[in-house]
Amino acid sequence: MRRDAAQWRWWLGATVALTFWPQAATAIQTHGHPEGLYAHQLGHFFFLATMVYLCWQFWRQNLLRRRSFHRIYWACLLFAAWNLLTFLGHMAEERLDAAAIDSTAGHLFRQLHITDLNALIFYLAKLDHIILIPALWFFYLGLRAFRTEQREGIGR
Amino acid sequence: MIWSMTPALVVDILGSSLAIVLAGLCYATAGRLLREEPDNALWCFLFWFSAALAIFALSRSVGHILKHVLILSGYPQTWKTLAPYSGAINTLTFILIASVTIFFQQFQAIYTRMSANHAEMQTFSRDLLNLNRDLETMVMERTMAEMALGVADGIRNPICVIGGFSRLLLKRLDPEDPTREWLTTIAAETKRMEEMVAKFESLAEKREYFFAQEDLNKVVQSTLTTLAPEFAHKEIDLQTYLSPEPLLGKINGHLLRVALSHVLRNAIEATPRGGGITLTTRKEGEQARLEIEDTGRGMPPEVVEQIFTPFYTTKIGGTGLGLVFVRQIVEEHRGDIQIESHVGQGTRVYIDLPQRFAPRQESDFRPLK
Repeated sequence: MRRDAAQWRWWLGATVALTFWPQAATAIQTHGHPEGLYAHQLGHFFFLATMVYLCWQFWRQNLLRRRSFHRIYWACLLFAAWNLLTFLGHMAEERLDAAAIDSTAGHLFRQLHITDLNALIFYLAKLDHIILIPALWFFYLGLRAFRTEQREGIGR
Repeated sequence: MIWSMTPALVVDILGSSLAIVLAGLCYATAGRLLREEPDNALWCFLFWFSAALAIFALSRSVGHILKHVLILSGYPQTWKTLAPYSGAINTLTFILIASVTIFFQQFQAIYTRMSANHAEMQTFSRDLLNLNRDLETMVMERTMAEMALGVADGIRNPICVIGGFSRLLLKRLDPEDPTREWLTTIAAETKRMEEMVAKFESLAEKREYFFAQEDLNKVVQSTLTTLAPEFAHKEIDLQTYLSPEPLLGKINGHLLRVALSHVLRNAIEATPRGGGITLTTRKEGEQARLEIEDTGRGMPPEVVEQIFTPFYTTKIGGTGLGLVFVRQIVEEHRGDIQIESHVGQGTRVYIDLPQRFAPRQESDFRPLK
């Protein structure tokens, strides 16, 4: 009991001391502005890599002869393509000249000056749902095929 | 070249809305898959993948729609404040999806193993049922034969005495004696009872249906042929020393093969890759001895002691009935099974099929007490 009280007093003293006489915490590294973008891009890359890995696993385990896995396989390929496009889109956005987008007519009627490949990639990346929606649709079809196979007892 | 951004904005808003709907449908479908088979590892993977995908679609789509709504309604500053949070959540969802995905191989491996175990269990249960049925029929036949012989044995002598004396009396009796008719009836009924005793005795012969004259060496050879792929798969050096003379006897070849396969499979399982198993058959006096020796991990005495206890098992997923059936099969042949084992050295199984292994005599059957 006395030992507990002593420990409690020690911790209280340390807390008060650190609160009122703070020192530089040299162990903590400051995170600057671009880290958020880098983390996001790494996230896209990680997502892309695992989708490719999943496709490879389906192929390696000879699962593609089943309709369900075949559809999920296509979904994964499209997710990978979507990640590649958005990855490039973020890079293009970073490099895009601020004057390339004309917002004088309002947000709804903005216009983009396509002067180089970078601007074109930026524009195409803004249409990324054209890949994302089919990817989700194929994934949904794959799950539905799994449901059918479950009812028919396939794959057991 | 100047391109309007309006189509991109329309695609973004419509696409984001559609992404929420589709991701929700995926989540619901995966949930239904898992609810029907909660133990299925593949459904578990798909459910978590769909859940991660739903979080991703929801956070991303809400962020995109909110961006356009806030900017169009004159709150671009509010969006500027919220944008980093939306981006950070998106990043987290990417990591979440990727993290779930890298476990696919493990999920699939568990699922494949579970399916294989399930199929194996089904086959094993079916075999066990068939074996049990055969054994039950055999035990029933034996019981019937023993009962019949017991009854026959018990009444044969008194009936013979009654029959013999009644016939003797009939010979000596005066033809005009009024009791002659009664004695004739007694002699006739006794004769009928003697015939019944003979019928009871013939019941024992029915065991021929289950036991046929076979060579134990041939039973061993056919079992080894069946198990050859299993020996080869584990690269086990099998040494066979079969008795040069045929070990003929009335045996149930099918059941003995089942018993022998089980003992040999145990030996294969216990023996490390490249190890050795020795199988010997020989005649020892009135007994035929079958000896199986492996160079496996062996068993401690406390395990050997309980090895024939029903439901006792040291294997994961084992039933603890295999060796129980083996012993019953051996005992149905009036044989004996013994196991010697030393940890780290291996296990030796002795199966003795005693003199009854030779064609059985009627006198082999013991009347029931």
